[in-house]
Amino acid sequence: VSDEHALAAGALLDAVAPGSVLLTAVFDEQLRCLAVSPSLADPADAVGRPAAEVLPAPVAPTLVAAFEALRAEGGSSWRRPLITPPGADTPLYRVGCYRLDGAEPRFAFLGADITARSERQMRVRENRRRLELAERVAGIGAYTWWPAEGDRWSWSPQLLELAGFADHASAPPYASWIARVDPRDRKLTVDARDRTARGERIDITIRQQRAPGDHRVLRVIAVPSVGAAGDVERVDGVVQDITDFERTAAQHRAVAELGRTALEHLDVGELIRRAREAVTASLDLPGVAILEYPAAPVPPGAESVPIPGPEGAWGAIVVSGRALTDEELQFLHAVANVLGNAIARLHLESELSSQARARGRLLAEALDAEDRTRREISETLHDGPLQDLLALTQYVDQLDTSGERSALHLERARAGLRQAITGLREVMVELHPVVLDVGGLESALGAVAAQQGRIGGFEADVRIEEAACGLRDALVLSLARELLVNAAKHARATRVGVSVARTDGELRLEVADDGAGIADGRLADAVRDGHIGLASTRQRVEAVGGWLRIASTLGAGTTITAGVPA
Amino acid sequence: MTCRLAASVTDGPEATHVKQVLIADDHAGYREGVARLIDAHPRLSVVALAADGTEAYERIVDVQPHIALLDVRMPGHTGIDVCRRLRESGDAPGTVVVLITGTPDPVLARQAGAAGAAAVLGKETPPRELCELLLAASDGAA
Repeated sequence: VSDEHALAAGALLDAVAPGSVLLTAVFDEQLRCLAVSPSLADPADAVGRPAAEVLPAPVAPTLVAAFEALRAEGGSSWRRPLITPPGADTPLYRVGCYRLDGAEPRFAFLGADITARSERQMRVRENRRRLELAERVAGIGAYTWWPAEGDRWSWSPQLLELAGFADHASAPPYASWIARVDPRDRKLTVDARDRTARGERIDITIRQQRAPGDHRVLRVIAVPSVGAAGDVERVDGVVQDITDFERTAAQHRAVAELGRTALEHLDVGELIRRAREAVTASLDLPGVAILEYPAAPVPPGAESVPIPGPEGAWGAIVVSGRALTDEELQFLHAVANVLGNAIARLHLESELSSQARARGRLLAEALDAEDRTRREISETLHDGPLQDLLALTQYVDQLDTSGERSALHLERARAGLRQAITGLREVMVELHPVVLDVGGLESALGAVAAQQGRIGGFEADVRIEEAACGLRDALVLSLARELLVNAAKHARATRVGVSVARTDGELRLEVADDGAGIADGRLADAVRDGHIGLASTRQRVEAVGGWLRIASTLGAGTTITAGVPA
Repeated sequence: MTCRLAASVTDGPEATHVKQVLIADDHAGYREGVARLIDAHPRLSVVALAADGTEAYERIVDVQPHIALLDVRMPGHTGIDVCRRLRESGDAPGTVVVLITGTPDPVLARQAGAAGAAAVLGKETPPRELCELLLAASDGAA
């Protein structure tokens, strides 16, 4: 081979990959250089010289050894000896040693300085390793989908693992993936993919059931990349397993919800039923029981979390079916604490309210007894002394009035009788208007209102619906009297309206005055301190299952409304 | 007490201008006192007395007086009840009912009017006035 040939061959080899760092050389059987690319050595100097001198010094011994091995083996073959760079500054080569069999065997060397590429690759590898680590730590997997190429997509190893395809080496077919999505979320999943293909970003949560009891919740976020032509070139997505997060969040919600429920006025049974539902749903276990001590012993293998009570444990939440995680046990303790507090509070409330009910009943009974007594006295006065006095007036009227003195005495007697009758009638109305029996509620209430109007200096306007009469006349009359007496004593009103109506199965009594009213903050104090006799009225109304409402504005009067079952 | 029964309840020339009266009141003192007063009037004659609502109704149907003076509040039936029953049954078409009460009340007066009573008077109404009112009520009805 002439120098020109060697030079031309070298130039040709360089031209194959212009600008590259491809290094070539061809050697004869004695491993003397026949041709070399200028990038490796100056051909004019190198041709004819032994390979050990032509090849790059750091790697020459390895390459020569490879050539010698090929020469010894005979035939066409190749080797790719491993080039280990001795130092960081040394260029890194990817090389091949070839034996080209012919009449005269030739040995060729192909090499490339891959220092820069190798560094890039190492960085890529390192990044990928870090990404995988990050994915694993965060429970995140990634995928890329190329919509233009149909179903072609690629999954990261972490995605394969977290989506339940750990046995796959690469992304599963789309149909296989969809088959493992919970049927309830399949349409959502397919629709979301279509949306990304149209350039929309998606963020969806889907459920998977891998095996009975193994429920997973995956969050999928995907961002499409739109090319210059406006087409979606690729969709990059990340998938996160949020099962634990969702479960913990659901448990926190369940405990908070139970706490709220406990603040409502539910009974213990209802509260326990709701707690049991919450635990069953959160743990996805059918074997949940809430027991009140003393209870049957906990079956072996079941977890038991005590529900605290004021004197030792009140009961326990017993869960069987599988072992519980620490987090699940913490959740059960939280539920048990909420239950314990609520039960203690409910017990206390029910004790207090039964005491209050008993007090209210006693008071109502006392007031009823007082009413009966007033009625008896009033009737006795009516049927006895009043009638006697009235009869007496008739006798007096028949007496002889011929003498002047007699006439004067008689007139005095008549006046005295009239005064006594009037006084007696006032007392009777105050005690109990006997006209209730004859004239009904309208007549009796009218008499009481007129009397209190005279005492309090107000005009009373009584309106009674016919449908409201004859049901609880005595009670309504008694309540109205208390309220009217109140108004006469305290209201300084010019007008008081009294109405009795029947609505929605209850009798409604309203006494509204246009008097002084009570300041906002003072109403409760005034009632409590007994300045206005409303506390007993309230107790009495509540004892028969009714209610009492007081509305008052300072300077603008007071309206008191009472409702009692009809 | 004894009361002077009209000599001619059903016949005689005097009967046409003497009005027969029934008095019902559960208070014996008042009942007899007022009976004596009314009976003293030349144009009024007490023909029957009753001590409760039930007896009053029976006696009115039996005697058919011109005027029935009934106390409002009585055992058995109230005066208003008796009045209403008489009107509804037509058992004493010629009897005018006047109610008396120890506790005068506008609502009672309205209810008595609705039941068909000619008037409601307070028990303290002076005798002369009472008799004139009874006659006026009876004449008005005739």
